[in-house]
Amino acid sequence: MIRFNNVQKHFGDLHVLKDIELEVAKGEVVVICGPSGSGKSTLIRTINRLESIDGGDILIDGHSIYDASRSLNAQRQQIGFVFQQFNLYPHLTALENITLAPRHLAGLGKQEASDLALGLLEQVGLSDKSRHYPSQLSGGQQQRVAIARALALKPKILLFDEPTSALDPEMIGEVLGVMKSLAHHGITMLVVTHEMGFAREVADRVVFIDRGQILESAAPQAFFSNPAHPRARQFLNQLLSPLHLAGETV
Amino acid sequence: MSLGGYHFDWSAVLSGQPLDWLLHGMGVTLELTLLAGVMATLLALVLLSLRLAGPRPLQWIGAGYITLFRNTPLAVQLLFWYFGGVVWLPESARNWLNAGHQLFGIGFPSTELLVGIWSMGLFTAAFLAEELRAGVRAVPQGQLEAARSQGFSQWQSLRLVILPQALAHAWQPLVGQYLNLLKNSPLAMSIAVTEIMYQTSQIESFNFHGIEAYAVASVIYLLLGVVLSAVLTSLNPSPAGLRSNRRAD
Amino acid sequence: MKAIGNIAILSLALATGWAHADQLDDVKSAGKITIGVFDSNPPFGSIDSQSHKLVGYDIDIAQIIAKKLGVKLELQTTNPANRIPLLVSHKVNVIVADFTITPERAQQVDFSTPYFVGGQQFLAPKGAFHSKADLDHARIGAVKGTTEEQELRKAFPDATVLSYDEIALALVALRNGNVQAITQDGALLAGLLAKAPDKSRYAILPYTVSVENIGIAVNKGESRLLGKINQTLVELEKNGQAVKIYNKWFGKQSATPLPRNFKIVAP
Repeated sequence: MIRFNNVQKHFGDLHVLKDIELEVAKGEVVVICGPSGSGKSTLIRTINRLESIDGGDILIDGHSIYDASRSLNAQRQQIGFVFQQFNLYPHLTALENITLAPRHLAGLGKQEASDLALGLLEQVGLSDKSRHYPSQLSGGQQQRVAIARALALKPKILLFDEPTSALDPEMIGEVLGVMKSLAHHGITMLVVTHEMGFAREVADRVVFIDRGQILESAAPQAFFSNPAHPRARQFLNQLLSPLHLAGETV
Repeated sequence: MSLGGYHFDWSAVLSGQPLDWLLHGMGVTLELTLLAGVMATLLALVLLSLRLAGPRPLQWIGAGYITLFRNTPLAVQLLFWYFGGVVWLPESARNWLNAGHQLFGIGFPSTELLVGIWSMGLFTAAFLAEELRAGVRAVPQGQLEAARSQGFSQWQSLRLVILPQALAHAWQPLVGQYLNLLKNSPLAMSIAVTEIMYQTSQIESFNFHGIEAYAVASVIYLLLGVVLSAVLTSLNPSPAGLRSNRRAD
Repeated sequence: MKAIGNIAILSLALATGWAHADQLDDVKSAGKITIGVFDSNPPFGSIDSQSHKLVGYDIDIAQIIAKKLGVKLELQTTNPANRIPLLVSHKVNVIVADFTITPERAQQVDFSTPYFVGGQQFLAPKGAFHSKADLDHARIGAVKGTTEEQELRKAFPDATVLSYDEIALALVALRNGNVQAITQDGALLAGLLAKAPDKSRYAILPYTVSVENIGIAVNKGESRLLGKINQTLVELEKNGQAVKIYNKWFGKQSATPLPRNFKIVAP
């Protein structure tokens, strides 16, 4: 469904994405993890062209995302994106945040869009918050609305960029719960996250990236019990037992 | 009423011809300010679009316009358009404008008033555009990313997501610029626009009661300013979600 | 005793100038007359750029007065603010400097019969106006804060008056067609027109709004000197020399053409 062919990206002298080769099958749930600065966020942002690439190509359904005959906006409408900082529209209610795209991009009427949005809000457990503004919602609630918003145009792909990193610990669960409920219902999901519990339970595959390169790609079972690459091992150790002194090798 | 040895004679300004002149002047000031304000607003929106969503050459034109009109004194711009620019109008247009039309008792359209509106509109538009742009820049980058990620075009993103938020940030500064327009209107007296200050200067040479005339004019400007400010502030299109929970303003 | 008293009185008188013979005698015995004139108010008095000498309508009049009295002429430059002080302190005997006769000034000096009559006039494109009444509903430009602006409103209450900061700007407005005529002191208009590159398109209209009499001033009480001056002026008119001098400075060929609408008459 999604294919990275030898993708390269530079920020000035810094080679942030190096020789990226990755294939994601339709309906697959892939978790991308790695140390900070590894390029994991950049990686998924290249899929909907929030970031550009300097070399190689990215294909969705066999077509390059840089194919000039296809409109960028139309492509993006097929991809839902969930941001670390939620990025809900503060001047609109939760309901309006979700109906905005269906009304202006899919041509839905006011009632139709409203019904659709209410259904999505129910799906994420927030039907009673439809008239609330983002400023009146907790972080966890905002992120759930953001997920509903990302689903509004019925995308084929959902991208999550560290969706729980900005949340207080007690709210992480409610968001991960929603994400789990979406998995394996037909949508292809790529999730950049540190939440290893989620990876273990929900992901079909874990991809480890460090310093711009994909170093390991394996099923969660294999990845967590026996990481192949030394840096993957180091990363997991630091993640799972953070009180270990940095630099200590396994 | 006496102050420091000067005996104020308010009736010299508040009755008879001087009063007529002042009322006429007030009408002209309002006309000038309101019409120039409308023109400036429309033009500022065009400039903003050029700067934010236009192709490179248009962005430069927008930036160039703003630099030019913000950095030359309004007094000079007024003189330029009235004594210089007006010759670019065809003679038939000029003759028609000079034929002495009247609207609500005020000469309109007349060359002087139109040039005043035109010049002040061009000048103020540059400032309005910059305040709007500052408002846009105050909107977090993530908002544009979210909108574009959903598949909205640059133009739709601006219209639906960015501008409503930008206006909320920029509203008070914008009101300030409209007030500046009111306070700049006396400059039009140098091109024979018969607004309030023109009339007070006329009263001064008519019966030498300049001090009373200027005092009354100041009060008129103060009242106009307070009313204008209140009306504009109440028109704040700030969406409800941005107004509730706001502590700073 | 009486003699000493008389000598004392005479000395005192001589010391204070009380027993001065009048200025006419002084001038005649000294063989020269000092006359105050302008040096930067063409065409009344200004400095000629070639010869660096004082020239002008007033200077010509001054020269004739000196000649008639049979004395040498000494010119002293002055400006509007110190005309009267110069005269009253006897630094000059006579003032010939575009001096408008007003009742207030007549309390401090004595004026001759007018030797120039100026007034508020109009400048308009040639052929635009045929009578004074044509101006009744016209758009007329004036200069802010001048007496001409006020007089215009009084004389033409139905005209549209547009006031500008300076006469030069009013001329631009005239040129652009924003006003149909402009008004100011006639001599000023003549000077303005003379320097305009398109002067052949305009003319000064032969109507005046108000009238200003320009006179020669002498110290109060100098009736003999004043009498001689008046006599000279009337003679000039009679023998045509007044017209000649006028035409030299205000005639059609001059730099500041202005139609002559007065005659010098006995006071």
